[in-house]
Amino acid sequence: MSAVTVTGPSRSPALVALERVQSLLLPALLIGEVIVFALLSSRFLSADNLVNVAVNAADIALIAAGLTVVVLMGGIDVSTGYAVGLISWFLATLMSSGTPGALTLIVALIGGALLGLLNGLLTARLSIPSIVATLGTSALFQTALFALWNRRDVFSGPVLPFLSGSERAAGVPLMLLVVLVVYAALHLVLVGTRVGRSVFAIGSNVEAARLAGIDVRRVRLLGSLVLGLLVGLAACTYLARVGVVQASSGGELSLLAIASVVVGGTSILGGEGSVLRTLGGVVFIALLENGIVLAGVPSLWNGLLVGCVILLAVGVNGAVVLLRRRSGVAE
Amino acid sequence: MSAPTDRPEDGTPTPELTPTLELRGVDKSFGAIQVLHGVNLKVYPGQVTALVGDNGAGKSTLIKSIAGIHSIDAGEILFEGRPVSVSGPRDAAALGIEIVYQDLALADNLDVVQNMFLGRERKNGFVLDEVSMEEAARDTLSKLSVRTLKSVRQLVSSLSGGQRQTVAIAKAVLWESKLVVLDEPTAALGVAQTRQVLDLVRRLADTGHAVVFISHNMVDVFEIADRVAALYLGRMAADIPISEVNRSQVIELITAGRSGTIGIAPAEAAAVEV
Ligand SMILES: Nc1ncnc2c1ncn2[C@@H]1O[C@H](COP(=O)(O)OP(=O)(O)OP(=O)(O)O)[C@@H](O)[C@H]1O
Ligand SMILES: [Mg+2]
Repeated sequence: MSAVTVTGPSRSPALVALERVQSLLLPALLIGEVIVFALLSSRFLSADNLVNVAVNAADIALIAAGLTVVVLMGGIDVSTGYAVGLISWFLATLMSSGTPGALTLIVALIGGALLGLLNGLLTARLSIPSIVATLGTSALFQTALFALWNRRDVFSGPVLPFLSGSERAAGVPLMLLVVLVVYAALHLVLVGTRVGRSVFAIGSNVEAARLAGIDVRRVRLLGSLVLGLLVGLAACTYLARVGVVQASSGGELSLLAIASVVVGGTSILGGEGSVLRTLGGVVFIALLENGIVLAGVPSLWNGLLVGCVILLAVGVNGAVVLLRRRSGVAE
Repeated sequence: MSAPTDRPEDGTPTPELTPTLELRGVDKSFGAIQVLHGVNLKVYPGQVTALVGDNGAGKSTLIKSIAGIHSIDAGEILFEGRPVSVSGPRDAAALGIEIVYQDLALADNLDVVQNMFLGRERKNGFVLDEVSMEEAARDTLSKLSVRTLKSVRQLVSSLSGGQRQTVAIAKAVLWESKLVVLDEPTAALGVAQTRQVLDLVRRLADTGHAVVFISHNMVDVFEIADRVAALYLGRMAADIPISEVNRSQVIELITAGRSGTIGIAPAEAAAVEV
């Protein structure tokens, strides 16, 4: 940095270009995806199919919304999939013994909150890195589900009709409205309230947040709690979608939720991003899964594409951060 | 903001003047290592007190103790004559203590306004009152004659070192604090930016703030300080008007804890220098 800079550090052309790539990545991926799948299958863009995609994406959307809050604070959670699986085993068991749907929903929310708080306590209270803590709890949830399952698949209908795709108003599934309300509410809290501002500050510079008097542990715990509640809700929509709980139910959701967040453009290092971007990421991931099936491509390719897209998004994000550091813009 | 006080040119406070901050016999250890030994310090309103000392002398530890980030093991902290216990950044802020840390506690992904109000945002019910915060931030910056910022909505990551320091200092002014502590605010700056920051620090004192200014640069110290407090291996070697010492004496105080008749007693100094 030169001695008399008054206008701020100069940004290298490479950095400017990369930042543009970062901001255009999601729109470009979305457009490319829609064009390719529309060409491969005439059903892809039909209203029926799109509503179907939205309904099927509800659980990922709910998890990814909560996960965004955690990622914005520089954390991560890889246990959400098996948390959904574990909770839905309880829900299916309750439903098949005739428990009222409303009560089952409450159990789902409480269960989700408890699992979220467990992750939150391990990371915020005991300062265990969130990747390690949630890998541990993920294994725990998976094993618990396996033990409870005990070679007996549990079948169940939707917990409540509005948490399945069937209940609609003017053709729009109510479940979709639930998801949109969750996103709108989280967005408003994140950009418009003090606690939302704290989330960004923590992800940007924990030390600064602490010195500004922000109770970092409390906000982190709150983030894990919100994610937990949404995981509980996602367990309901998941059960409505698949109708049965098996030994490894839900496991695939962890990665898809993470993929939605990072493809959306929320920085995996925290401090930068939004739930609205994540919603875009969810749309991309959901369309990808659906388009591959409609195009008749073996579903093996799905994992490959999701993996590549995650690496691409994280790679661009990492390169931007690296270049910012190099060009003297303090991190 | 405390009323502007007359500042006698020689840096001697008028007898009735109560120090904004007074430390009495402050001890602080990290585990087995004692970093501060019975530190006494008086900081007066309207004056810049330069806190000097070698690397590791305990300057940063001292101000973190004032801020309540470190709890002190022994001694007393008086604020405006009253004993206080500060147990965290919030307490310090409530008293009117603002600290600009050495490693600049700013959040890069937030803009200037958001940083200035971090942790103390203005609200309208539940919702942040962005308009009034932006206005107040702009007011404060113009009151300090800061004209180098293009926009108060710029992300802090896009600011230069001097601009970042300016934002950190403006934050202190915004909160109408009585005591402003600056830990090496010019250490990473070039000539022009150092000039800006020094002017800003002087203006802080001239508007009645009590200012503690930590620096290794004797030119800066002699330019803006009214008093100088020298820490030597965790002991306060001297806390005196700067008019009573010259540059080489201050350097002696920093490196040996003693200069002529000023400083820690020879026996003690010898005992410290194992
Ligand atoms: N959190 C801590 N735990 C243990 N030791 C510490 C801690 N903070 C500071 N110290 C030690 O206390 C001593 C004083 O450090 P301090 O940072 O206060 O020095 P300083 O005067 O600010 O130095 P500099 O001019 O380099 O900034 C050093 O020996 C340092 O290693
Ligand atoms: Mg220091």
